[in-house]
Amino acid sequence: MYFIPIYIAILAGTIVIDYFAGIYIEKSFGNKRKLFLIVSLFANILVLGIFKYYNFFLENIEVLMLSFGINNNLPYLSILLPVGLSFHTFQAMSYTIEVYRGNQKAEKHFGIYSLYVMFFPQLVAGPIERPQNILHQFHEKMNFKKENIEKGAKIMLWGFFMKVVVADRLAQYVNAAYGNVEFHSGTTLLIATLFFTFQIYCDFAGYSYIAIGSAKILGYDLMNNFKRPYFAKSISEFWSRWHISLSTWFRDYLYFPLGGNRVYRYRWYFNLFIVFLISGIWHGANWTFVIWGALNGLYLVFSIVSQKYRDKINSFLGLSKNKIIFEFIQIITTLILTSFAWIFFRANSLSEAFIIITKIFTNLTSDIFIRWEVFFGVFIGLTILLFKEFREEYFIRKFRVLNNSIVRLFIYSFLIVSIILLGVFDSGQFIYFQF
Amino acid sequence: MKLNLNFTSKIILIIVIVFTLDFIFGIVLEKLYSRTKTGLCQQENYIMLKTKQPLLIFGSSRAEYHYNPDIISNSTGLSTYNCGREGVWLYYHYGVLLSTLKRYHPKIVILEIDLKDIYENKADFGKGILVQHAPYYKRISNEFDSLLELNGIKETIKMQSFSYRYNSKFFKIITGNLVSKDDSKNGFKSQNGIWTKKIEYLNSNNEIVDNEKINTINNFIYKAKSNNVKLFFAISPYYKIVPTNILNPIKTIAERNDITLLNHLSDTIFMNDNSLFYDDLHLNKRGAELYSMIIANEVKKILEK
Repeated sequence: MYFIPIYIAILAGTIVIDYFAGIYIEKSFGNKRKLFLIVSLFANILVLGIFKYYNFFLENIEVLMLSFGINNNLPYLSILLPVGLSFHTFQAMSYTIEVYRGNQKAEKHFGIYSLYVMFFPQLVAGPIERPQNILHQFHEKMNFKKENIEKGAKIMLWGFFMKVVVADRLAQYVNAAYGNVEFHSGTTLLIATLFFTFQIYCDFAGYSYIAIGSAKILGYDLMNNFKRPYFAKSISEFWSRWHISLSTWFRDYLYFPLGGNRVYRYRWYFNLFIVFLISGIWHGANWTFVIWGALNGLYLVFSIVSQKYRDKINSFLGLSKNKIIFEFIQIITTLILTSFAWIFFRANSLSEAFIIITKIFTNLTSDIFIRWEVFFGVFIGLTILLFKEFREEYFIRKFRVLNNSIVRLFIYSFLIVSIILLGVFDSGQFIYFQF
Repeated sequence: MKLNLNFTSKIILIIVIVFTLDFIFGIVLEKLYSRTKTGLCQQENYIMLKTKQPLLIFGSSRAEYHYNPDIISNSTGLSTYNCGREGVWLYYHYGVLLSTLKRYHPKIVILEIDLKDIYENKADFGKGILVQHAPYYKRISNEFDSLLELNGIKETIKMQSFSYRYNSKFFKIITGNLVSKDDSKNGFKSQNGIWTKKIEYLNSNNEIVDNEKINTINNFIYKAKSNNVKLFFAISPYYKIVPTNILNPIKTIAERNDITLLNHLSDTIFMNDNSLFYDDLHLNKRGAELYSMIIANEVKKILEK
């Protein structure tokens, strides 16, 4: 990561444009309102486009030209992607859209509007806030409150545990396997893929909890970004539990404006697919992310198309009679589909993704890359994580002893010591910082 | 029983519990660590606290897999232990030397030098490895602690925690107590297999000498000399074609300090025979036996002078 002062000017430029756009949208009527909205959206998308997609676009043009035998030196830019650009541009766009829709008053205080875009806990990786939720909080006078410190610190502690104990330990295995796919068996790559499924969750949710907790300590409430996503019983439910702030952003500002499900059937399928395709592109300028997004879109469309056939099969097999088994099968199926899609998300290139998939389906041998210390750390971390999530999902009223204040103090202390003892402290950044 | 604790009481209680748990875990792990019967922790413990041989070999995996102590002992008549360890380089072994000298003065130390001990490297072949010595923080000497503190103030703060010193060694400590097979002979491990790929050129463009590493080599020399330890630098073979000037920095240091450099980096006996290699950087069992004999004879001749 680098600090390049000029990059602050990019953020400052979009803040100024969006700030005035908001005010003028509110003041204006008719097409003028629309014009100011377009200016604001264009400015944000332009910045995102130049920094994130310009070189990717040229790379593909170059490949296309070469396939026609045209060799050309295209004007690539030597630029780095500013940290969190995708997050704060989306947050800025949600502001002008909400002002345009009349759901939010334009913010007159430049400092407060700047804070809305640059609020440090969620600047680099979200949650992508809506102005209705956060702007009014910045107008309130905040005093340090013991309750907020306590609540925020607890949330942060859990975030640190997820990141340092679970995600970064899993990363040691995943990086070793995905970094040398040619040398590993299908079994190793399958284990690495399952590990990545939990790594990406603990890495990103861990960051979100740290962000939400640190904001809470200051007195601000940010939206929850994750709701135990791997307990989802379908792909659509998964997306209502995973990266909620982005899923709802796409729902409110893209899916609904496209007509949502209030259109004819094939248009509805198209709407779903295109939203996920764009969501994939949002994540990164690489075909791996495009395929990942498209795959999730296909999953959703297929789940709708096949719903009545699946219902018939389930009733024929009598699966739906036993609720526990049926839900278990649904959860596992969703987990497998999601994990499969994560292969594209994590792979270094499309060709490597296909090597991994081929090996998983054709090379499940006993030749496994063993790293016992990683497995052991992962076992402890995942056991604690799954116990907490199981309890919250299914047994929230059980294990009441865990609500005892002394027991809870011991649990928090134990978590702190487990971070010190089992945490990985030499790993890199959060995965979502790259977006 | 429901207790209504106020904020301050909770903070105090949590600090007390964390410090107590940290202390208890630290003490238990220290005991278990020192009792390991096999594996990495046992190896570390022996190297740091128990060696007594007059001839010690220091270095990375290229020392661990290349120097057979039995062969060297037979030739030199000096009991030998191979302190080489995979994945550790110069800084780690300077710590081992400090710990050894605190207990006794070996007669000879052979330091296997790797190019990673001289040049800057993108991968972490530097001070980061000192974290492996964390279990010995506050147990050897102030000089040893100062070496560990080279990793910066954050690392120094972290090492005040008793359990952090055993961070990531947890599993190795447990298996080291449960399993009791020793697969090494006086620290030496052999590798079976033959490298079949063609010899390649070492990619060594724009290598930059790492001054901090050079300083550590100089400290190593000073420490050995001032304690009457005869120091040899040794460079075992690569199955790679390397530029002739790549060892100039270490040759200069050796000449300046009157240290014998046993340079076999491009030894044709090895470079012409791929069947002596396990991979391009490591000799196999047969290669190690041959190399150990050569080194033992060279050391013996110098000692007889």
